[in-house]
Amino acid sequence: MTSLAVASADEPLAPGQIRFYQATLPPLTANSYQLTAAQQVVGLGDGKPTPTYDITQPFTVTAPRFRLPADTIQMSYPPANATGSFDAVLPNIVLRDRVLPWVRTLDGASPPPPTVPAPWMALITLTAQELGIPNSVQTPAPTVAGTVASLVSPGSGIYGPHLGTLPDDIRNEPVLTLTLDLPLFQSVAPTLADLPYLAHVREVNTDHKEILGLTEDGFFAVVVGNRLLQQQQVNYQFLVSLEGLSAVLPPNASPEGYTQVRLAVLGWWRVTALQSIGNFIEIMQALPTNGGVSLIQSVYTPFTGGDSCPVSGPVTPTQRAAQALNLGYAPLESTMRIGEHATAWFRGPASPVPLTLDPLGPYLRSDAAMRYDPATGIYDMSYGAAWEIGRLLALSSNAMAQSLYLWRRSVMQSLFGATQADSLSSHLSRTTAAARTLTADTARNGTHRALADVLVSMNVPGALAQGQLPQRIARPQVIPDQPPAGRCTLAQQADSVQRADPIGRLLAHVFAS
Amino acid sequence: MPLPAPSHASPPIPAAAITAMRDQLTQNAANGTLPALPATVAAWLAELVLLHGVPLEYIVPNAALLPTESVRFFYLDQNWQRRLIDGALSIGLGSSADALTLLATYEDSVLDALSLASGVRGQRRGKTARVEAGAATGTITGFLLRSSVVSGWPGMEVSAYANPTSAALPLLRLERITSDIMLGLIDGLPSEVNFLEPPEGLHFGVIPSKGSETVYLRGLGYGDFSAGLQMTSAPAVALTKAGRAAGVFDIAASVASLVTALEAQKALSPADPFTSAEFAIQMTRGAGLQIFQWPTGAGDTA
Repeated sequence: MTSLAVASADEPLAPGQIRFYQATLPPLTANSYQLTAAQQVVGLGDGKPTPTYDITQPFTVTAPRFRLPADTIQMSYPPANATGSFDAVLPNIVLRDRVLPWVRTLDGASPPPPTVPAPWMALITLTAQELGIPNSVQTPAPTVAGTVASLVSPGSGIYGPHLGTLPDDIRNEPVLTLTLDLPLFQSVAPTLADLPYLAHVREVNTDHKEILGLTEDGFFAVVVGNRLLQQQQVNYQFLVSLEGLSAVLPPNASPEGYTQVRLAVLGWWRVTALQSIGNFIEIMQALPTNGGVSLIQSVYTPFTGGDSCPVSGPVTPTQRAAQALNLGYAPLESTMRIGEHATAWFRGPASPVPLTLDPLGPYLRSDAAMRYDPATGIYDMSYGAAWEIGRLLALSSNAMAQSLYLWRRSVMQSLFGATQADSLSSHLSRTTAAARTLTADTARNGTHRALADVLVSMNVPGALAQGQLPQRIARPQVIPDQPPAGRCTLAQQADSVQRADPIGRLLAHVFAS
Repeated sequence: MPLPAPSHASPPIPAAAITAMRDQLTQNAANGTLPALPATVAAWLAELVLLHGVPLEYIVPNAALLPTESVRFFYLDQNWQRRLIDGALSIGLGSSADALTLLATYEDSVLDALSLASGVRGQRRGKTARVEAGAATGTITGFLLRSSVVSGWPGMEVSAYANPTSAALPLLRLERITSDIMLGLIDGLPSEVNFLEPPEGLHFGVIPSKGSETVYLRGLGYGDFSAGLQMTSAPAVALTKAGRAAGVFDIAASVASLVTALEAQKALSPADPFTSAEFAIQMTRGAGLQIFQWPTGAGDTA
């Protein structure tokens, strides 16, 4: 992401925006407190004593200490049990309780505001190898379920959190512990100076959509690890309490007499980091030295004797070959129809040089698109191959082939009327001129006009005047007694048939009117 | 009586016949009696001219044209596109009247196909196809990227610019045609093509570079830099390793380098201290951006 929608301090938070805070400090850190009230009674009279009454109310601010409530953890990155190339990733965990990382302090003392104390929890990353367990997600949890007593009084040689005297009910609370060798812990733990940067608060607005997997509006605390995930390892992330452990945090030396440290684990998860496939930018930067960044041209060992074509004069075969290669052509074997095997040039649709549209084509056959170089006797099969693959693709698409066929037929039909008029009029020489002079937009009607003209010229009784559009050719109202001298027309023949048929005559009368 | 020798060569179609037919079609088109090229066919041809379905061997006939870990830029051959259309339209030609129809309607079919080509990518992505007049009818350029970044970073973003200040040129096609080869077609002639590492969400991380871990600075809403925006002009800042276990950072020292770098960019307000909130913004992993300058090869990263 090149941009991160960050809202300023005083603007309302839009969906998708994030506001970052250094910390959310509780009014009181978790501890035991004493509330003392004192009242002095005055004005009882001259010389009278002024008695003071006071009352003390002890109270305790509680907060999670040795384990977290079940719903505290919102999400973690990388997700628990995930497998992937988590290259150059710092793990982090999102907590729903925004005060949590600051609800306690490392040493129990709260500095006066505005000093922001270091968070009391940290995310440490250890590999399976460092934990001395098999490099598999099937292994049992590396943590040990114990009691607070086993944590704070772990036995000789093990440094436990220095938390002062704890009451018995707390000492019996269950806790997940992790015991590490001190040098290992000190090699991965954040320093006291690092800690303040490793926890912050985010405010998000999730009105319109889910953002970052945070499903609720509001504030979240985020604890960030200080170590990159290690490749080809199962990486364990532990959210540990560092309360009472300031003395063993790096860069402090190991305390005298201790070889191990016992930690309270507030939460843990593991992910499998695969072999890194590399880094985007590094791979991109290596392109020029690997395969090269260029126009699409064949990579070839330069020919001996010079490749570049002379400006004028004869061209050697090597120069011609080099020129073709530089134009993006590839020499391929082609099988001619007569069985001859020959080399042909081929170039795909990708060309290293801009091309102008050639006026040739369209071609009805792929052979027509082949090019022949008489100077070398070599064919250029590029456009022939393009033609063939276009046809094969069209044939493989049923829907396309069908609608192309139907369309072509309908184009033919649209031409039909015009063509019919054209051919009819060319056969009827007497009316050809009349039909041809008709305007183009009445080409179809032209057929009828031409017919009408023909009928008029044949002296068919009742035929329409020239140029009049007939809906139907009307029958003559009066049947002539005698056929006119000369040829008997088709219409007359039909009439003579009808005269022999009284019902036909009746019908003709009805329909003619 | 011997039969006459069969004639394979069909008689040439006289140019006058094509002209006459085309005139007639023009007239029919003018009075609305000519059926338009069906939408199915036009859309199919639009995909065809963007080489959809064309096997890779036809685009890259020889492995030497596209070695592993390489990027190749090219111009799309308009003649090649037209030959594809020729071939596709030539199916089922039963008579010379069919051929005449093809020839007479050819130019219109090509224009239909090319003008729809600008909408193909949108349609394939399920967006409304926005066909712009005149788009995709001029120079079409493209690139083939064969690299492990294609398989490793499936959401890679590509943008092309005719010049650094203009709006991005439309992408006509951007697809992985094999697991490690990406084909891109650009409407126009770019002077710069950018490959942006896909945003994988807002997680914390660093960018390894030449043996050290770096971060790209982000603005903090001070100076000329808006909050959260990656500062492309600023050099990457190397973080300090703690020198203890592998991969452990010295956060305090890294913060010091970040503060120095931000102050050098005048991006850090003197009134506000650099706290865990600013640190969180800086450590939100940036995306690698690789710029290629057309046509002479590799540019630099930003």
